[in-house]
Amino acid sequence: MYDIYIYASYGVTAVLLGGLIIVSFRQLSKARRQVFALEAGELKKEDE
Amino acid sequence: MLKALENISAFYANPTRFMALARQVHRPLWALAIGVLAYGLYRVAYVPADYQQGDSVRIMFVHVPAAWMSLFGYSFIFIASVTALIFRHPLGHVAARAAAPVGAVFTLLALITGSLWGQPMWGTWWVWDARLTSVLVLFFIYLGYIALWQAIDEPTRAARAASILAIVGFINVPIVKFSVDWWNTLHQPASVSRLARPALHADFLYPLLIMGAGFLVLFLALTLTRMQMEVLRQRLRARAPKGEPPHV
Repeated sequence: MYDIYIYASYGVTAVLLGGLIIVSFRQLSKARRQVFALEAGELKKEDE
Repeated sequence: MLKALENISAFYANPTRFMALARQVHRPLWALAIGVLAYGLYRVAYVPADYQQGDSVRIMFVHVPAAWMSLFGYSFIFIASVTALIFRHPLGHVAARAAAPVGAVFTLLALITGSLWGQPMWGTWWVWDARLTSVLVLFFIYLGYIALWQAIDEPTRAARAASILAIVGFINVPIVKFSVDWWNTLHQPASVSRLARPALHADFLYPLLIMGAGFLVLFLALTLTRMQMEVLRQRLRARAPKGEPPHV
């Protein structure tokens, strides 16, 4: 009788929290790559 | 005890030390979050139907923990902002900024699942009663806080303005909590916080507490992940040539 409301609640929870988890990890990974690239660039300059 | 906390806090004020700790804690915290949530969902699957609400009571196991986290998240931001403004702890702003999107998502989740629970039980998706309205205001404060960080280019000014907003906005937290006691609301009063004798039967109470614990660990894991990202972004901003802010 209430199935649609229950599935919708758990579905929305999965989508919102799952989305936040994915976005957070992608942003962390991007920031790590950028710092790594920056540090590698600085080391290269020092070597030259 | 306070002295020990002060020493720990001072030790991890150094972002490099914090990042080293975060790297160690990160995976175990995520594993714990997944484990507790999986066990909570397993318990929820075997919860009996309520004699009045039927199976729709299952919505409670996501709605109530999400509502708890919306208040916990804002309290976390408030404490972090006070720590940053008054005690000048360098990670205060980082923690507050990292927690804001997490708290906002939990608040939105509480609003949506509450609406999905309200329609079959109350016969309406929404009413402008004190509890629902104050939670909506809390969601807007979260959005305002996030927008303020984005709106000001200079990081020190942005941090100060956002902290002041976070501290002033904290007035809404007790209003949300006690709205069901102070005003006549369609929303029911607290059922769990009466620790002496909760209004919930143990069949519902324990799965709810387990889901609450799962959401709490998930909040902490997400905030820690985002704090690492914020520290790295600070490093990038500090090293960027003047006039060329990095697109992070």
